[in-house]
Amino acid sequence: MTEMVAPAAGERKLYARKSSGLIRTIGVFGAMVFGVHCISLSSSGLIPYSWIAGVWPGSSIIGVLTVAAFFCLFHAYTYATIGAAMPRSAADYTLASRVLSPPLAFAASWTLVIFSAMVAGALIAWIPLVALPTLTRSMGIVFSNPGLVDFAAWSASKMGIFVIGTVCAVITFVTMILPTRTIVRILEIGFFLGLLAWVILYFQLGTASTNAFPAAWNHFMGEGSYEGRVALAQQYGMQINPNVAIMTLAGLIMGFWVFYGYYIPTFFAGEVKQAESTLLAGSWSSLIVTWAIFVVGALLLQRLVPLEWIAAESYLSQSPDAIAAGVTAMPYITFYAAVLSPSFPLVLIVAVAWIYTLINLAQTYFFYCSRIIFAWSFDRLIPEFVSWIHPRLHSPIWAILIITGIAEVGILDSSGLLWPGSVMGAQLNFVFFAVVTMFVPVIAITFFPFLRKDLFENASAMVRRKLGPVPVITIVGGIALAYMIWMVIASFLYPAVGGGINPTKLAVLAGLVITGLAVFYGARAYRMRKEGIDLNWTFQSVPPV
Amino acid sequence: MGMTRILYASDFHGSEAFFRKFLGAALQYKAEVLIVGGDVTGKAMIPVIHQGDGRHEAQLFGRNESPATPAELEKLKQTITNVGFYPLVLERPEAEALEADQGRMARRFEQEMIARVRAWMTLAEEKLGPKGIHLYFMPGNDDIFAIDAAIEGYEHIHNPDGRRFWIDDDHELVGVSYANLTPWRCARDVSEAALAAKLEQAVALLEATQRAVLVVHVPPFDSGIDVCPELDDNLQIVHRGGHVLMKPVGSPAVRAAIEKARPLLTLHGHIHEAPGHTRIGPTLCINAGSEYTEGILKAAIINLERDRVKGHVLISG
Repeated sequence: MTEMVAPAAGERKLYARKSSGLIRTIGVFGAMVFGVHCISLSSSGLIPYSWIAGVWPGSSIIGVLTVAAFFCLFHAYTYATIGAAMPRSAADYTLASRVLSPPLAFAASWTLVIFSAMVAGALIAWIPLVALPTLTRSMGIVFSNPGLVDFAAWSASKMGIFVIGTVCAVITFVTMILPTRTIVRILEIGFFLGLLAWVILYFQLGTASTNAFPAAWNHFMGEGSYEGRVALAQQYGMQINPNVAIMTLAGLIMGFWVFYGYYIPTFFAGEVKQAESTLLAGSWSSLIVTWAIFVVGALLLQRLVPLEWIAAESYLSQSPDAIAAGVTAMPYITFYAAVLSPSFPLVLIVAVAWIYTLINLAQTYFFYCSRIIFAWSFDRLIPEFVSWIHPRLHSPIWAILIITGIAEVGILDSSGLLWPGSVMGAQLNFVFFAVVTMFVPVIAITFFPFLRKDLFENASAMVRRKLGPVPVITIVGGIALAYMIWMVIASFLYPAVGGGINPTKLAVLAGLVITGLAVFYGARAYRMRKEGIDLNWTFQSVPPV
Repeated sequence: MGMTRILYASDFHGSEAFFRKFLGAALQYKAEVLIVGGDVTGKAMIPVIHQGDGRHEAQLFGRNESPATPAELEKLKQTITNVGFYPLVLERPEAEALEADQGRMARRFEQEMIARVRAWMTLAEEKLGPKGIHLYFMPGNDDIFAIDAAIEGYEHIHNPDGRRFWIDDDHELVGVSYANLTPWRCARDVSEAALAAKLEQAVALLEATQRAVLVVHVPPFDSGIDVCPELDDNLQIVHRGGHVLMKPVGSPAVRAAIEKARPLLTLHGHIHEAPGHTRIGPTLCINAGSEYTEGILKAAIINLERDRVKGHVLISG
C-alpha cells in the first residue's frame, strides 16, 4: 500500500506519498558565491578606483557604483526569470530558441560563447598586462627591488603578455579538466582567498591615520609627488566636474563593466534547484555583496585621500599624453594599501589572491561556455565528440580544449604580438558584445507571456507574477532592454569606455553571427539527409491532444 | 530499407499536460511506436477545501488559490492535474477524516493513481488505435504495483515490463521497471543483485539481442545520463564553491547487462536532470529527462533501421 507523509499539524497544503523527488535546494549562499566569482573580487575590484575615477573626474565612486548596481538589479531579475522559465543548461539559448527563433537563438549563443572564450583570454591577458605588473611594481617600489620593477615592465610587454598569458591559459585548461569536485574546491578556495585579500586591504587602509597617506605615497613615489598629482593631471587635461547627472550617466555605463557576471548562474539553471528563487536571490545577493565590498573600500580610501586626488591618479594612468611623457601612475587600491602598510607577507597574500582569483574568473567563463556547448550537443547542433566526457576525469576535454584555443586567440589579440591588437577589443568591448548577444534572450523573456502563453501559464509563480494585468517580467524586461540599448549607444558615444567600436569590430561581430547561422543550417541539413531527423523538431511546441 | 520511428518519454509523474503532449507528438512527428519508460504516477494529492458559498481554497507550489466559481474550480483542478498532482475537492470534515486515517488516505491515493492511468490508457487507445500505433507503457520504480492492472486490456497498449514484444518485423522490445535502491525506498527499488537477475531474465526473452530495444527505467551507472545532485544525510543538495556537486547514481547491473547483451538501443528515465545520450559499446543509450512539473514534454525521437539507429533527437515542447 502507498506510504504517506503525514501533513504537519495545521497544514493542509498537500498530501504527499513517500517517494522520490523531495524538495531540495542549493541555497542562496551557494548561488551567491558563484555570482561573486563571476563578478570577480580582483579585476572588478580595481575598476572603481583605477578607471571610473579618471573617466569621470569628480564623480562620486560610491554614487557610480550605486547607480550601476541599481540598474543591474533589473537585468539580474530578467536573467533569473529566464532561468526560472527554462531551468536547464543554457537557459537563455533554450528560451530564445523556443520563443523567438532557433537559428537566431543559436547564432546569439554561438556568438556569446566564442566572444566569452575570447574575453576569458583577454582576462587571462590581464594578469601579465595589469595585475602582475601592478603587484610586482608595487612590491618593487615598496621593497626597493628594481628586479621586480623590471619584471613588471617585461610582463606588460607584447612577449610578456603572450608568454605569461599562455602559461595561465594552460593552467586554466589543466584545472578545468580535473574532476568537478576538484574544480569547485579550487573555486571555493578562491572565494575565501578573495575575501581575505579585501580584509587585508581594509586593514591596511583602515588602520592608517587619516593624514598618513601623503607621506607614505611620497616615500615611495618621490618627494612632492602626492601634492603635485592633481595639478599634473589638470595639466594633461583633467577637468573635475562633481555633477550628479554625470555621476548617474557614469553609473549607467559602468554597471556591466564592474558587476558583469552576477547573472551567469542562469547559464546552468538546470543544476540549481528551485531556480525561481535561488537564481534571483543568488544574483541579487552577489550584486549587493560586491557592491558593499567595493563601497567599503571606497569609504576607507576616501578617508585618507580626497576624491579628486584619486581621480587625478586614475586620469594620469589613462592619459595617452601622460603615458607618453613617462608619468608613472599607480591608481590601484592594492598599491595604495601597500604603501600605507608595507608588510611583505600582507602584500604577498594580496598578490597571490589577486592572481588566483583572476584565474578563477577565467575558469568561470570556461565553465559556462562548456555548459552552453553541452546544450547545443543535446540539440545535436554540433558533432558528438565535442561533448565527449573523459571516462576517468569526467570532464568534457574537447569542449574545454576548444574554449582554450579561442581564449589563446584572445590572449594574442590583447598582446598585439601578431597584429595591432584588440581587433575584437575583447575586454574593452566586452560590454558591447555581451549586450548585443543578450538582446535575443531578453526580448524573448520580455514577450514570453504573449508569444508562448502555454508555457507562460505553466511556468513557476515567479515567472507568472503580474502587476495588475501586466506581467512583471514584461515591465522589468522592458527596463532591462532600455538599459541594454543605452549601453550599446554609450559604447559609441563614450569610446573611452566602449573601447572604440569601429567597422572592423562590427565586422567581427557580424562574422560571428553569420557563422552561427551557417552552423545551424548546416547541422540541420546534415541531420535531415543522414538521419531523417529535422532539428527544428527540438524547438517546436507540441499541442496536447 | 524500412524505418521505424519511435517516440520515447519517461517520468510523467502524473502530469496530464505531459502525457497529452506525448500523444500529440506521436501524431505531429508521425511516430509508429510509442514507448514510456516508467514513473507515470504522481507524488501528491492537493486538497481543495470547500469554504462555503461555492468558494474553495487550496495551496499549489506555495501559492494560495481561491476559486470562487465552478469555472475557476475546474481550471484549478486542471492546473493541478497538469503538473502531476491529484486534486481532491473536499468538505472540511472530509479532509479532517482523511488526515486522521493514514490507511484511508493511502487507499484514496491508490484510487486516484489508478483512475488517472486508466483514463490515460483509454485516451491513448482512442487516439492511437485508429492509426494502428502501439503504445508500450511501462511503470517505474516510483509506481505502485496496483497500477499494472490498469494498463491491461487494451488492443494497442502493452506493458513491456518483463515481457517481450516485436515492435516491427526486425526489432524486439523488453522492459525492466525496477531500479536500484534509492534514498526513498520506492515501490520497485531492489538490490543490484536482484536487478541483475531481472535484467538477465528480460534479455533471455530476446531472439535477436543485437537488434533489440531495452527499456530499463534506471540508466547505466557512470554513463553521463545518470548524474544528479549529490544529497547529504538529510536529503539536501551538497554544494561547494557555488556549484552543485553531481554524482552518478545509475545501476552497475544495468551497465553490465548492456555491455554483455550489446543491444541496439536502450531507453532510460529515472534521473530527470540527466537527459542525453551515450554509447556503451555498440549500444545507443538515451535518457529523455523530465520536466513534468512545468508540463513540458521531454521526449526522444528515434529512427530505427534494421541493424542500426539511423538518427535520434531529444525534443522539448
